[in-house]
Amino acid sequence: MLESLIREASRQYQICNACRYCEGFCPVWDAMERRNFFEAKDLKFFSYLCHDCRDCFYACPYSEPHDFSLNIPKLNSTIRYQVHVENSWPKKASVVMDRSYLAGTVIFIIAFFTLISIAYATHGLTSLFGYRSSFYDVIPTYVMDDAGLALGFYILAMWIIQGLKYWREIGGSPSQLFSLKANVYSIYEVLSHKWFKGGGSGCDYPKATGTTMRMYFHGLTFFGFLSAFVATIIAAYLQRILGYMPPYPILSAPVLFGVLGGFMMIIGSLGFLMMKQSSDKTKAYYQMLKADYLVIYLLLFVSITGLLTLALRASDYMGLILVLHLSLVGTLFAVFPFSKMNHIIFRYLSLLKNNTESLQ
Amino acid sequence: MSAKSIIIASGGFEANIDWLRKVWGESADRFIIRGSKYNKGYPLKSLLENGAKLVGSPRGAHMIAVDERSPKYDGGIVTRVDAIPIGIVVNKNGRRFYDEGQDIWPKRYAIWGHLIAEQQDQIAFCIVDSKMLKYFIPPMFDPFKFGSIEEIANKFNINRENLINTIKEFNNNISRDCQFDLSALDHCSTKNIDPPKSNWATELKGPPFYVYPLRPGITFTYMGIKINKDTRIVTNDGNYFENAFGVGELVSGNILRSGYLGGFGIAIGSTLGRIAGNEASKYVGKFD
Repeated sequence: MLESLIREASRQYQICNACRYCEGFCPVWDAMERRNFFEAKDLKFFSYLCHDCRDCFYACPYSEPHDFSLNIPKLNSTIRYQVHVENSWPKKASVVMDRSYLAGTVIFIIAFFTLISIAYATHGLTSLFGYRSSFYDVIPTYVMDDAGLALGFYILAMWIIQGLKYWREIGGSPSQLFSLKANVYSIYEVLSHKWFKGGGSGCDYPKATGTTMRMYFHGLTFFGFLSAFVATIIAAYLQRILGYMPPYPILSAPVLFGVLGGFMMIIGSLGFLMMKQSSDKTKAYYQMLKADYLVIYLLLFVSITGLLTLALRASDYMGLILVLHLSLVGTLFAVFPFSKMNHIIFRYLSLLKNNTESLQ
Repeated sequence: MSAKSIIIASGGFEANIDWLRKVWGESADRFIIRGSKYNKGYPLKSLLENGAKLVGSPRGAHMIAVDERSPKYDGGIVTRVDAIPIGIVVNKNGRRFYDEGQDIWPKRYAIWGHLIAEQQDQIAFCIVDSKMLKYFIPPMFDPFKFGSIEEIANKFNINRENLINTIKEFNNNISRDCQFDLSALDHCSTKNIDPPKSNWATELKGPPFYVYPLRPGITFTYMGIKINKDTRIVTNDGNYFENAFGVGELVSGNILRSGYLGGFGIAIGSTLGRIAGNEASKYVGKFD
């Protein structure tokens, strides 16, 4: 992290630590109060413990334009970006943050043409422009399954590598990582979206009005994603274990979970886009703002094309829309462990670190 | 602009240096004003000129010890230095001048502004050592760090002999038969020195020594105007203005003449504000 950023961050937190009136908004302030001075490891820890709620900015008499010029939300957004880029492994993968649209577009194009070629090579041109009864008559089972599984393991591996790096950086110990109590409490905080409420007064995002809007949109996206994931797991079980091949009827678990998740993600990501549009851009790091868009759009497009694939599965367009959907899924998964999606792992580890400190 | 009724909530005159100078003399120039520089007290002045009854002493004020490096105006809460009950406080003459551990800090912090205002050049120095740093809320400004007592004296132009003696005398007179405990009056006191330190006295074991230079930091003044129980402003002839109400720190002298109660400012602001709002609307309602 840049020396100047560390200096500026500890200047701001030292002012906060002499006041402490923001305690109760979020756990950043409790974590801060456990310290007398701030090093890079503490600042990186605070940055992800911050949920960008922004209540502190509007509550504080020292916020810009006061001479002390505090802007904790922007500061944390800036540090989060640095953490993200520095933790990218391999290093070059930080392009997903730095030039998100370019990276996303290139990967999408590669994925799309690869899948088109596979469809053409295995089932011929008509698989793309004509009726087929099963998805596997467009893209072979082994390609879809193996690629999906490979991408899954790839995300897991990248997250373990980057997560462990971050955990060491913020001063976490191996034994704390497996603390049962702290993990249980952290999972509770994640599932309940505990820190999207500004300690009860709502968050000042997108505007300084105290709202829990983001909690709902994030909840829809988060649980929508889980629902779609569950649909995939059930489908895999039906197919691999029970040998029951798709397409599954509308009133079956994979389809219902998939449709529910799809709609939830569409509403959630549209909500994110809407809030972002009207949000105050001076409270965030501009590069971070930019990088956020890639995954929001990908989630939105993946969900829309997913639902279209279902709607059009008995039509002549199924092949093409399936290839489009799978290319978008592939793109999302490929950028996943280097994109904004890493907030899942970094923020979880910050919550865990906070809980290992506070539950002692 | 005309109105049927007016509620005045304009605070004291804490940012009016000329006015403060009339009360405190030249030393007012070295006060740090913790709030907005616009708190000049013009409405207060105008009320007094128009027959409102004055209440409280002009010297009454919430005045605490703040770091000398604080901005002249608007530094607020973070300029406060809470190290005083932990360490010792000396003036430019190198002498301690008040019992740093007289009582728990929330009961005593608001007397230190006045105490420092009475010292030469309106400055004092709080000295602590490494082991003490963790016992108080770290202030906005890092302390100055020194390798010896002489260095402290040189840097701040403090009487060196006296400072060395003060610290020696302090260290030699600490009672050993007590348990240091910040959560209570631990009676870890000094013996036979004047002023005593009645609680939390522990040996100042430097180097290094850490020093916070202190100034009087004025939060708000207590002198204001007399109000009755409806918050109507009382006049010098014993009557009151029918349609003028005073609330907040403008009228703090009605309740507080010296010292301080934690939360007082917020409490009078909200309760008197409610009363005045009710009374003023009742009054205006009569015209309908």
